[in-house]
Order: sequence, then C-alpha cells, then structure tokens
Amino acid sequence: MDNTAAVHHDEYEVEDYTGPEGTTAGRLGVWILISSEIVLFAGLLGSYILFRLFHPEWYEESSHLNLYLGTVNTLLLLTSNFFMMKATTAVEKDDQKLSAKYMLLTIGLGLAFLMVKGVEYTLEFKHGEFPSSGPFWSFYFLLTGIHGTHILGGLVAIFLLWIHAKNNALGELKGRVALTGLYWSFVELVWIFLFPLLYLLREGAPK
Amino acid sequence: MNLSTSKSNHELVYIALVILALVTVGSSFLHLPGNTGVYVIFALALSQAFLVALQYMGLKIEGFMVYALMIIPLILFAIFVFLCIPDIAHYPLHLNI
Repeated sequence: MDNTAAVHHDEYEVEDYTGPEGTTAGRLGVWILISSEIVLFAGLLGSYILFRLFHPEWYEESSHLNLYLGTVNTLLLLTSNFFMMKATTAVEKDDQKLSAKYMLLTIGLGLAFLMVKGVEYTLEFKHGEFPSSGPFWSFYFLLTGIHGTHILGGLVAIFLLWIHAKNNALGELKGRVALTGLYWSFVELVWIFLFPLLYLLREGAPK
Repeated sequence: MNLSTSKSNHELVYIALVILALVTVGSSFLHLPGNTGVYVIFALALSQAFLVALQYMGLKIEGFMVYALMIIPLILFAIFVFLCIPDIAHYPLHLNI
C-alpha cells in the first residue's frame, strides 16, 4: 500500500488515529519531537564516541559501572516497551481494560528501571564517582540523567492514559496510546545505544 | 502493507531483542582482537535499533514525510561530527587530561 496516498485531509486529526497507518497530524507531531530528540541524543552520543576514540583509558572508569544492573535495566526496558506495544494493540481492538493492564505493567517496569538506576547512582556516589569526577563520569551522568528524565516523562503520559483506560473512558484519547507507544519505543531505542557505549566497550582494556 | 502481521510480530520481535541484548553483553567478554569487539557490539546494537524502529515504531509503514523528517537530524549530526573531529583530536594538547 502506498502510505503517501493514505494521507488524506480528514486523516489530519489526532483523535481519529487508532494505529500506525498513514501519517496523521498527531503521529507527525511525535515524529517531529523524536527528530528533535535525535539531534539532542546524537549530539551527546557523538561527542562521547569521539572522546572515547581518543581516550581508550576511559575503559578503566567505565569498568567501575555495574554491568549486571545495566543488563537488568536493559531487559526491564525491553519488556516495558513490549507491554506498551501490547497496550496499543489492545486499544486498537477496543479492549481498554486489557490495555490498562498492559499499561500498568509498562509503568511498573519503567519505575523498576528508574529504581535500578537510582541504586546504580547510589553505588557510584558511595565509590566517590560524581559528575565532577572526570569527563567519563560527566558524560555518564549527563547521558543517563537525560535518558532517565525522558523515562519519567513517558511514565507520566502513560499513567494519565491508564487512568482513563482503566475506567473504560479513553474515548477520543485512544489514538494517544499509539503515539505514547511510539515515544516509549524511541526511549528504548536510545537505551539500546547508551547501554553498550557506556557499559560494554572494552577498547583500551588490558589484553 | 499488512498491519495485522506487524502487530502479531511483537512477541517475536521482543524475543529477538532479548536474545540480541544478551548476545551483546556476552560478546563484550570475548576479548576479540583489535577493534573487532567494538564493531560486533555496534552491529548488534544497530540490529536491535532497526528492529525497534521498523517493527515497534512502525517506520516500515511510514510515509515519505517521516523519512524526510529523519534526514534533517542525521545531516545535522554528520555536520556536527565533521566539525568536532579536529577539535577532539587535539583535545589532550589543550586541556592536558
């Protein structure tokens, strides 16, 4: 199907949107938001990668990060996004109660991600690692802090939708579930790059 | 375009993402020669990113406008990286870290 042909004037209404078909106004708006976020994260990640290329000794500092907690967080976010996709599908099938359950799971796993991140921060502070401890730690706290803020924002949006969905009262907000799912997937996508860049790069490690 | 197929793939995509994430973690312990380890990790991360973008974010069914939107930050990013390279290459000379 030609997606361009699917964009008609009457589709430029957020509330009419119930799936990722065609490019509606709401969906286009979220993509504009995402493209601006790409500028932010690509700039930060690009800076980090370039610095890391010229400073392989940063391996020593990155090896202090807790790989197990990082891996757990990766799995939490992957699962959280999976449930958000299920919530979107449930809304499209007009099953708001089921969608609310999936949204609750999404929120729970998102909160768990933030809690694990909090534990990691606490451990790092106890070891004397602060944003001012060096360039690597500045990048680490900045990147994970901004990402965490995006998680928090996404959780608030999902929570607001959940309040309506659990009462079977999404009404015209149905389309927002898919849009929020799109944003939530982007947040996961950012972590897919953050995690290996911060935790897994062994460049500079002793052989 | 078959939307129902893309939706029923959520479980498969999730399983693939989990496996790729675990393989990425595992590959970091392999101590591959040279920069091979870095390339492997990036390849696995890119695979995951493509899966999320195409399947979960629905990029595979999006129209031209969304792709056009995505080009702009990528061009900005390329310019940014190009302008930064000489500065970062000389960073130790200026800041002595």
